[in-house]
Amino acid sequence: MPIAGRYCRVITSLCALTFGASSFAVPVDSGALSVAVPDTSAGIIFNVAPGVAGTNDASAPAGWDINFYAYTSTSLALFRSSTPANSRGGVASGVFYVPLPAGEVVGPSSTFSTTAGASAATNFQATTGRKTLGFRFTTRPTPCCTTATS
Amino acid sequence: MLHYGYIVIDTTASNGLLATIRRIVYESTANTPIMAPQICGANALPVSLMDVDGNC
Repeated sequence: MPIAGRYCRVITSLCALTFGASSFAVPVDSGALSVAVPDTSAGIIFNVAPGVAGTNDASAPAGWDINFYAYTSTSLALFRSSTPANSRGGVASGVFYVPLPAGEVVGPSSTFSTTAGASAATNFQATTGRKTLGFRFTTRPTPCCTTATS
Repeated sequence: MLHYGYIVIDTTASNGLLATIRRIVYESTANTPIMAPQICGANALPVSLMDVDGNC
């Protein structure tokens, strides 16, 4: 685990102790990354948990959640798996993904979109610099209930 | 089970390219909200003071 991740966990706990119980549990944090979005129509395709990625359709991880790619090599674009319905998506206003303001809460009351393509990602193109995209995804239950054979 | 999270991304031109993913954070507890970073790629303002990985 990156050292910053450890600090974040410690400090978050301290904050809860200092300022009262928080409704936010300890997050899973990748730590600092430097993953370039390939300038291709496939881009990079993530399955957030367990944290795997592929860079073409053949290597897309099963159950993938999020895809950043270059639409015709001219614009950053987003695409999210839309099945099952209402299981994934990015925080949006209408069909346009919206960078999160500092301190914005992402949760059940957020509005999500799974719209593909470059136009939906306009707000992540126009202003260069750092932006934050809220998202949701679904985890698949661990296979269970196989029949014992012996 | 739905999980919520955020992705910190840097872009370097008006078309959004080149884009670099800087951080992926999600709430491990299903159906639990998560707060976007106040300053850095972390979950609460005080964390920025301890963010030693240079992504502030």
